[in-house]
Amino acid sequence: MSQPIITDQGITANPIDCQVYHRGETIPFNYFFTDDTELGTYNIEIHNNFDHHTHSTSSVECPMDALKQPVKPWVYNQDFAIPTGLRQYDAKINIPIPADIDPGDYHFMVRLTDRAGWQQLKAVAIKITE
Amino acid sequence: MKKYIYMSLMMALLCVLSLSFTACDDDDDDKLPAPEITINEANIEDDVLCVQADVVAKGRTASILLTITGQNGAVKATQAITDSKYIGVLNIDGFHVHVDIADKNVEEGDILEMSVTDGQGLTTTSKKSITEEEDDDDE
Repeated sequence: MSQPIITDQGITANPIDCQVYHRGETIPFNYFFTDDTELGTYNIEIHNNFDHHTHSTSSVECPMDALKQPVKPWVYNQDFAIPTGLRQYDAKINIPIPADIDPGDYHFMVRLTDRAGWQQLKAVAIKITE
Repeated sequence: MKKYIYMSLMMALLCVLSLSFTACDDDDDDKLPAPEITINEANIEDDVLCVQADVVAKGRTASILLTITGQNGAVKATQAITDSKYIGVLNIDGFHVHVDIADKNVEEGDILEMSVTDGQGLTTTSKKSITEEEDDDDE
């Protein structure tokens, strides 16, 4: 058994590194999940990157705003179940961006866990503008 | 005849003892290794301590506790991690939590302890000296 896989296989994955969204828009999340035994659950977390930290899952460097202090940063953290018995799953979720959050650089984190307990992380850097 | 019965009983006892020891050996072999923790960051960022780490827990994570202690050993803050994405898993790549340290006088040089207990009850604790945020864009 090994870690599940988060891939863009056969789909147009979204979001991807360096994408720009506007406050009040919707992020149409879409990634394809696979596992060698059985998929379990996934979690999507969005947090600010105003301090320019890294998560080391992507080699892409996106242009970033200057360092700043958060005032009303967007925090999103939601678990999603995958129907039982699947080794492949086309995950699609529409995530509305609140209209009153701090614009700036954000990390879009996807954690996919299989039934065995192995977990895969994908971190995507996005920017939200006014 | 008595000697035959005695020898039979001794053989039976020997078999039982052998099986017992074999069973104990198997139990030891079945025990999975204790969790492994690599703390990558314990950095003060205003009112929070940014903690980043990687965890491998072959016995699946059952509980995670973060403790901040001063250089004199006094506990300044604790936070139990209950987020479902971190519990019940074999590995955590990019564990990322902000611990609220407002008004707790946490400073550079204090110690972060991260304890992970797995489903077997095995606990591993890793420590890292706390650092201050770097204002590299101000240079």
